[in-house]
Amino acid sequence: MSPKLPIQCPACEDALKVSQLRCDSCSTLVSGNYSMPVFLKLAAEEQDFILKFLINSGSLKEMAKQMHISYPTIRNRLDDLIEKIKQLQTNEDSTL
Amino acid sequence: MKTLLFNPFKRYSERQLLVFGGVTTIVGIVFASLTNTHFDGVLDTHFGKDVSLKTAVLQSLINSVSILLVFYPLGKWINSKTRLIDIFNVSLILKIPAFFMMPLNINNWAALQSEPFLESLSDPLKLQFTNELILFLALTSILGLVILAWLIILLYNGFKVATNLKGTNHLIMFIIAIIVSEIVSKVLLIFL
Repeated sequence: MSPKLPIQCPACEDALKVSQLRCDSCSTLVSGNYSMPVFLKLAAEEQDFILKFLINSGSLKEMAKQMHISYPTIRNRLDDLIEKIKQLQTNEDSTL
Repeated sequence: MKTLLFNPFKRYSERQLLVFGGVTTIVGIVFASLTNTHFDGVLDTHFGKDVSLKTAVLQSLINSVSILLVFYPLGKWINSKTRLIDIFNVSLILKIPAFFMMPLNINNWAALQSEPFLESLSDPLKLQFTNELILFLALTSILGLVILAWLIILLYNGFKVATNLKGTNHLIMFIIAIIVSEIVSKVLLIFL
């Protein structure tokens, strides 16, 4: 099982940032203070939902069939996700 | 099972709900006529002695139209993506719990039991509490409350799925809409 990328601070629940990146082949380390892309700030299930949305060419009806839930339930999830992404982008813009 | 009973709208497609709701409505209309049960209002179930098939069809139609007239515009206002078919399916599925009241009026049992009870309203001291009357009152009140709660849960869940309803303001509007749809159905029934 691959470990989940933590997106929230376990102590204060604030958004985490990337401070170190490593090259697997030559072990070069890059240090800094990088914000995580919006996609990575989403929960694993939400990322999975977006991937399914892309794979199904944006067809909510097809997704509803695959996930065995109704069309409006899928549409509501998408609307909630859009709202969350907009909120994350607003927060990101305000911190710049 | 819980989803099937209380929130089928979350899982089943509009086509499945339409077929299921349509078939149960037709069966419900036939049994309402056979058991002389009036569904005279969005939330109402009353027992009579002569409910024709035509009356049962019209009452069912009025209930669905009342739900559509009130909840569809409200749904559109809450969420512009609200679809007519989702609200229509809610109007069909909604009445299924009330169909469980119909067996009480086989051979007009409930209607006959309620007669002396209604007649004594002007003079309650005259009322004779027979065992059968106590059974009737217990069954109709307990079953009636359970069914009303089930019906409102179905209406809420169906409307929530159809509109992505959220927050206290939407909830208050939903509660007002229940009352308005009941009034609309009663007004439309006057013309029946």
